[in-house]
Amino acid sequence: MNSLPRLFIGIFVVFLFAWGGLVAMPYLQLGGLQPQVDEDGNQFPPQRDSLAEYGAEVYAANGCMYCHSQQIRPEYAGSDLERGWGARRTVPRDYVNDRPVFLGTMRTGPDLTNIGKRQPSALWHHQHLFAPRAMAGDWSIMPAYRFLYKVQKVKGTPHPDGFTVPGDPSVPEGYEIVPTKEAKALVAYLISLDRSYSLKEAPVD
Amino acid sequence: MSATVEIPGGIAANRASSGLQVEGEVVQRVVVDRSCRLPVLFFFAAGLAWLLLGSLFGFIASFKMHHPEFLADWSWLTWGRVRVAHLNMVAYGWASQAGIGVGIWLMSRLCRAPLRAPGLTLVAGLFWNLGVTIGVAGILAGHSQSIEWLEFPKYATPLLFVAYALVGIWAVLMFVNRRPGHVYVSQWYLFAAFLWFPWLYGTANVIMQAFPLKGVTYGAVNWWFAHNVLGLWFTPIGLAAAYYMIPKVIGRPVHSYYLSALGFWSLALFYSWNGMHHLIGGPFPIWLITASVVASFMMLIPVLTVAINHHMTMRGHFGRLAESPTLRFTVFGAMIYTLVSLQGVSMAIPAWNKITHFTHYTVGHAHLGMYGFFSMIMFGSMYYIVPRLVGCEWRSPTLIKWHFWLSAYGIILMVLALSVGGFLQGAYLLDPATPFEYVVKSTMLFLQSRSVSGVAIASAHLIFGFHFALMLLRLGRTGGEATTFLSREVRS
Amino acid sequence: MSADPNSPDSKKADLDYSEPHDIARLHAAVMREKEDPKDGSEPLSLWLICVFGFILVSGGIYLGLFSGGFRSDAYSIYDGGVKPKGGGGAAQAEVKKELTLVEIGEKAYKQNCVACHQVTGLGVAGAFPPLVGSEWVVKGDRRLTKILMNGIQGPLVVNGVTYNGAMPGWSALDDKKIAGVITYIRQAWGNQAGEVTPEQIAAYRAENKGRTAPWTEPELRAIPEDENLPPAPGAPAAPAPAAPDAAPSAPAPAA
Repeated sequence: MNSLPRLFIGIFVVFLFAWGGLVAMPYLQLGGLQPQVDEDGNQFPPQRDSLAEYGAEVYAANGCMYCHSQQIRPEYAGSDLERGWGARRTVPRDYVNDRPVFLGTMRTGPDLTNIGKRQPSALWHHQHLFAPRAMAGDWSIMPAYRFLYKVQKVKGTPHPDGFTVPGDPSVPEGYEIVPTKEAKALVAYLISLDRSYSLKEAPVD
Repeated sequence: MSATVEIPGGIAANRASSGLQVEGEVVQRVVVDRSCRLPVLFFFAAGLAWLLLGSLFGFIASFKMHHPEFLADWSWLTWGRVRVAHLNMVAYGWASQAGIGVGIWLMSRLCRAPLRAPGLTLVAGLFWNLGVTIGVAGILAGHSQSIEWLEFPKYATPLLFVAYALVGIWAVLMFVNRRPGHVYVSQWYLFAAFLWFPWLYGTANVIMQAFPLKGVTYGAVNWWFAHNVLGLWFTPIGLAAAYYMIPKVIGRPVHSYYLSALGFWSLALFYSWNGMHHLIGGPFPIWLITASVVASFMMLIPVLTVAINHHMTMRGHFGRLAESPTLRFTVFGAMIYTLVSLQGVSMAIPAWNKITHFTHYTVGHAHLGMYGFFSMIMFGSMYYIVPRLVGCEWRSPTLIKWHFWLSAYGIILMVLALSVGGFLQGAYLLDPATPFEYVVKSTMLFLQSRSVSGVAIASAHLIFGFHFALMLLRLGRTGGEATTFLSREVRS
Repeated sequence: MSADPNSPDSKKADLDYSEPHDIARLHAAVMREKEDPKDGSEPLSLWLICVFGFILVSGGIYLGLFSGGFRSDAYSIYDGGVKPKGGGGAAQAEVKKELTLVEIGEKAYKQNCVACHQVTGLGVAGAFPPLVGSEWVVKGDRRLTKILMNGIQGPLVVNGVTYNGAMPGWSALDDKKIAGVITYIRQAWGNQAGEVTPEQIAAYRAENKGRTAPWTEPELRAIPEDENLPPAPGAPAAPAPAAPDAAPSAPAPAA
């Protein structure tokens, strides 16, 4: 191969071929997917509100995806369903509102596709983000996101969003933990993670 | 310059017996080396600086996985940012720049032409380092995009694209201006790599930023890009270096031109389709996943081809590994290439993937490839190239020995720990009766072992960085003899 | 210039590139280099071509079998006509109809409850209470039904341990599944308690439409711990007397 034009064309064609298959074709096939709408006008997947959308940005900023996946594999590909991480496998339509998608490639921590269904309590999420080991157990290696919270002395009446974590000795008596906007957004995002609705192409039996 | 030169030590006898056109060939190489000196040393120095910083961040990330309260109070050091910063520092800061430095020198030597437009490459280097610095700072500040291998915030990407584009333009210029004649396999790989990477980076970023892309197509573009960074950027550069250094150091031709050509085109064709094997079982049309699984299986063709080619070239000369640092690092890397690629083929088989997907096993595989294959070959090439640029030899064979063994044992320990630990993790995850708590607990010993391996590897880099700094300061040995593992230490 | 190759003498002195000695010293490394690599001309071996041909053919076969017709809506490897082991979709549909109440409950439990209460029913220490031997599970089924339908908020003492979590309500599941789960957990892991039927759940639902908020421990403890749901209309009379309900509702239908 001593000829520059031939080498260039070969390199370019091979590149284009793979781009065509892995980028252009999926876009052509899936780019037009829309949420499924039922007779009451409800969308599946539902649109997130603006706080939860901001929460997705906080999720991205702190690299949550690098320990937690957001995809339920079918029965033949893994035991995700048997573990109770979802009622059904996830399909492309489940992610139409996400940009970018946090499919993830690691399960250092559990899958979060349906965490909003498994644990809909905002309080639990705040407590767990502040002090993971106090909430899940000493074995947990999840980082503590204390920097998303402010620990302050209770002045008179407690802050409406303030909370404590029973079992966490780091916050003394008379103090409360108040979430920042980022923490509230992140928790709103986590609670929005619920793919347990049925879709025509993926019914829940 | 055609004056005959006298060399002390009777080297004239060697040259005569190898039949070189002595003056012309040597002088031409000298001219090429001189023209490359500034850009190549710049990329090497910058790359090594990022390697040191990247190794530190890698260790911090590893340590946090078994001691999560370590440095836990600062937002910029939270695990999800440190881990991302580590990847970008070692991939774009170290590996890419080492690859460019080696590639520039190889391309210039093989094209038998002095470096064209050195200013272009230096500007590229400046933009590159600026982009990586701003990008890493952005990640630590909380602006990571959480798109694997493309985490740099939007404001850093144009700087990087300019740098990559300049390198691509440079490669075309060099190739066009090469001395006419046979084009060697390394030149195909380098030419291709230096074009593929800007195409990849540009396309991926334009698609992700400028298109109304939503949903899982993002995942497809992501992994098309990320896997091709490995297959169309790092692998070709690593193979180009191995194809040059192995026959060059032992003084024999590569076994077969036909294997070289088959290896090159089958790599280009199949590797580029592998991307979706990172998403087996994921929410995609099944044909997409199957196409990548099949393409991954097809990788047996280029991998076996290259392995046979290198092995048959080395056959009968394995004794040289005791002596030449370049050969030892390069052959280690080339053997690891075969091993990690076979491992990769196995991981794409759905039955095996069911166990190892989402586990530390994948992380072990990634490090085996980027470090065991690519970085070790880069080290080998740097040991060869640097004396030719600074005019003196590496000062201490002991430092080279320590570098090799700490790196080799370090990566072996890391990969063994992550592979065994990851496999167990996957097997436990596959059993729904095993609580998640037990899955996590079972990985602890292996994650701790990985941190130990990180200490060894980081130490190797400190040693190499120090040794390289000595060379930059022209504090190496003089005289005509290479510093090998069998040389005696300098007494000074 | 020293002829001793082992002495790092003053290299930093100015080098004159036109001086052959300096070139020699500077580029000694280049001087000793061997020829640049060339390509050998070994032909491709036949067995290698055969092996590669085999690889290509097997890959092609796999691609043909498991691509789901290259359709955009085929997500499973079985969408291309290959049947999974143990029968295809039709066989699976038949199997569904034959499940007993406990089997339906076990399936629903594994789909919805194991993430917190675990497959073993032991929960997670400090986070999710166990169901094995729990007073809330094995005694009367009225408290348990309320918990399943609306969930729990705030502290709850289970087997002497306080849990401070939150359990979601599962009223979105159908009557068969709720009755199945209740029956399953009351009879699994060594628990020995009576079953609850889908009809009883339907009747409970009809009475308690007003309540959507999760229960708190005091509200649950206000109900006697042995109180059961009344038997469904048409079912044989239950031995335990129907007791007043804590939730606002119409009077319980007579057996």
